[in-house]
Amino acid sequence: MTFAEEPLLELEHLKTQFFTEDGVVKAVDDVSFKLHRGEVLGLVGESGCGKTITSLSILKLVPTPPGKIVGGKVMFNGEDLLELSEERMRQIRGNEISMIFQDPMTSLNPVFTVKNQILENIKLHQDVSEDEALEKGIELMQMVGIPEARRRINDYPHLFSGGMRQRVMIAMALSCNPQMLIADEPTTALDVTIQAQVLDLIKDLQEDLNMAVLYITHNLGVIAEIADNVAVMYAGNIVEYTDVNTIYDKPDHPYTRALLSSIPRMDKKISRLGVIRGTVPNLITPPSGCRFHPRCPYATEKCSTQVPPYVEIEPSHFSFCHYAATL
Amino acid sequence: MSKEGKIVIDDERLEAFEKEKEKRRRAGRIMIFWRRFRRHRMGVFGLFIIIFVTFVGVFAPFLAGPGRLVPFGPRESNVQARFTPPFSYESAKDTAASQEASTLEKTVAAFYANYKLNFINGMSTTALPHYLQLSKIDSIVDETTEEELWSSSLDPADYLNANGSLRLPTSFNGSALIDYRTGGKIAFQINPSKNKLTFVSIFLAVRVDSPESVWGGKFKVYLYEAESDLNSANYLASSSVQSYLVSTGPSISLRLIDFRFSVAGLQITTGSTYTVVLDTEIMDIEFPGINQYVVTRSGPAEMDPLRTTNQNWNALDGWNDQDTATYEGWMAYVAVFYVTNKFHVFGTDALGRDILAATIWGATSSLTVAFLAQGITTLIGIIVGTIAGYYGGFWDNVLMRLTDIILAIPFFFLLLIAITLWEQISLYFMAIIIGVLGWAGIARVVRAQFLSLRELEYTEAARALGVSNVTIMFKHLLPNALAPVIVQTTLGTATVILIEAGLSFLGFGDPLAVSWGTAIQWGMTGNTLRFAPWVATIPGLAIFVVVLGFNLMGDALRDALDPRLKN
Repeated sequence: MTFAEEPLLELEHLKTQFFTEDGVVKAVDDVSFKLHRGEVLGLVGESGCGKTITSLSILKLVPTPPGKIVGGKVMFNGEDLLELSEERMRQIRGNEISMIFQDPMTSLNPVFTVKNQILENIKLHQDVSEDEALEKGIELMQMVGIPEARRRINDYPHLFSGGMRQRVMIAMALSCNPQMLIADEPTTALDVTIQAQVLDLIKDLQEDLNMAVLYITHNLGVIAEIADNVAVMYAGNIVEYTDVNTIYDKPDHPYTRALLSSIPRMDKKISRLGVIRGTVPNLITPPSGCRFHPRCPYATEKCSTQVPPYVEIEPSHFSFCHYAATL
Repeated sequence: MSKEGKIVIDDERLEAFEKEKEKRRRAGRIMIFWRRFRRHRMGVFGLFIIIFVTFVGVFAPFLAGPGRLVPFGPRESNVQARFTPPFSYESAKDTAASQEASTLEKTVAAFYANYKLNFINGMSTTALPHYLQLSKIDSIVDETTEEELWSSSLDPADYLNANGSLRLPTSFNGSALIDYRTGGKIAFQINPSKNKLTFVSIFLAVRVDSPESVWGGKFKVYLYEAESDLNSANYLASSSVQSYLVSTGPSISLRLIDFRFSVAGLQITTGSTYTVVLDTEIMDIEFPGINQYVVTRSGPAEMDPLRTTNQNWNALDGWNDQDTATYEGWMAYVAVFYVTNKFHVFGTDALGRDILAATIWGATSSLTVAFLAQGITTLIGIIVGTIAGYYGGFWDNVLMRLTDIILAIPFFFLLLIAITLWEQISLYFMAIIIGVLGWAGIARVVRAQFLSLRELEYTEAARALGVSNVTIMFKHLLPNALAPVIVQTTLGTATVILIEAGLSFLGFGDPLAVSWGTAIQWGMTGNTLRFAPWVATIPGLAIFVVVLGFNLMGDALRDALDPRLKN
């Protein structure tokens, strides 16, 4: 899938660091990618590789202190979000860029009714009356597939199941017709059936509303389901960026390959699943050169000394490796 | 379902059941909480106590002061009210108690109205040094002429017995003039009413004949059986009080300075006759800068045997120029009568103050201070804890170290210091000081709550929706943090009541308000606790009950608000 127009969101060399007592954690290091209108970008990586921090950096929600965005640009609709005032950011959050979170159980405030919480966002960003907001809220709940929305909108969150809560969260996120949705592992805490429903829902809504979606997950199966393009993150870097078919058919970066070989696949018969040796590096003192080199089966001397370049193997297929397209 | 019969589920029942189910499902947190709270019988009992005492406190002006309506707590105008029982004499006219009360009232009235009369009578019946007798009358003429003095509207037949002695009002038992230099003894008989234990209050009225005077006295009261030797040490009970009085009268005049003094609660067997001996030792006190009080009398100054005892005598010699001798001194007129406690449901204290009225007023004072102080405490605690917990970092450090500092200083002594810095303490002021110094505990609780709440996803979700920090803190998170605060506040209110009572007991309270602590202090004076234990017990019980009520409710709240308890 190609997107000819200007990207909606463009990250340029984003760097986010956490200044802790033990040292500076380089959680996001030089991350760049583009996201177009109507595109779903899957951001994949194992735990602690900086996926969530990347998304929080976009909204400038990195807990400060200790976190700090130290460099780069987040171009959204032609303006750099990092330059904007907190006031303006609050207008963007929830209105132009929305976010849904991993754990639907704790994402809703237990002391308020769902109505209270959905309507708050509507009233915060739109100049509507109480009745109009209520109608909009009910409409949203119907849209995300909650039965008996008119009655259930007055319920407290504890009366909803996990999947339903996630739907409520999605309804809240979509309440102001955002141009972009950041979904931070929205299906991780749900069981598989509900996962599939929520994924379908997000996909449908994304197509209906022509939203850009940044979908963060560590589940490559989910990515195959929903994403147009995929960015694979490792230790704060994006190591590979390509479209969703290429990542499964012709993965280039050794990390992506290792990752794919470690999950069972229906189309290939593998007697033994692959393992990535070692553990995720400590981001206070990341490995020199290529950050993956201590665990890379193809690593050479060069890998440990020089930071690899971004190599465009094919059009819009980037690999962050010295030996891109040669292995 | 029972084995014998089937339960018929008709539509109506089903509908009702569904309705109830829906109601329960919809129930907000407050309903759920109330349902849980209701199950704690003791908690509901505590709530009942608090509501009752609050009611009593709010309506104290109606309940405790006969016919007096004072909207905001017992201030100056209520000082009188404290001395009266909480029933109007008018409304209880027909009862025996009211008759006695009305006799008492008349007695007091007669005592004030006829002081001139009694004054004269006192001299004529009591053996006193001659120079203090008639000569005194002769000289007190500056404002009240002798003629005026005698032209009482009362017919002598009304107040004199056939033998020429004064017929005193029913309860009036004795009076005397006592010389400040020697002091004096006055003995009088009391015969308590037949069917009731009698609590004796003795009022000492002092007349100071001076433009400006400072005096003090030691007063001792002994209770003897009627036949005893009044000089022996075989008294049944004794009590002593030392007191000072500053009087700044405009000139030499016949002034009655009302000074109430009493035997502290002597308990007397009914039907017998007793003798009460009031022994006075009166000192005159020199204060530099205050002129000596002067009473003129006829007769040469040189003959005054006491002249040399006063160091200021020489300085005052000039007063002799009107051919009258002057001497410094005062005259105390002492009248004694006793009060029975029939009309006082919980009795009176040593000064005749009604304990029930005091307890009712005490509810006003205690709850005013408790609610106001705890309100301030909670407000400051929430604000400080919220800011510290939500923002963390620098503000957390600053605010929590401040909290530590406040917690490190013993609260009660900090309070005493703060209170002694101001001269006049009002209830509100006391509440503000307690509140301003007491927020540390709540701040810590709130902070701890916020430390965990701010990490929750709904906080992040709210931020991602563009909600401002202040709204997140106080609208989204605070309701989640309130449960322990409510419990802490309830228990804290009980603590404030105890603190207020403690301060008042020690005399650091509002001097114009009656607090339970003050009332207990009344019951601790002299021998009161031994002879009149009710004086301290009744307000003590009030404190006990209210604090118990708050604690019971706090426990029930803790259970009802605990999210880990299901149902």
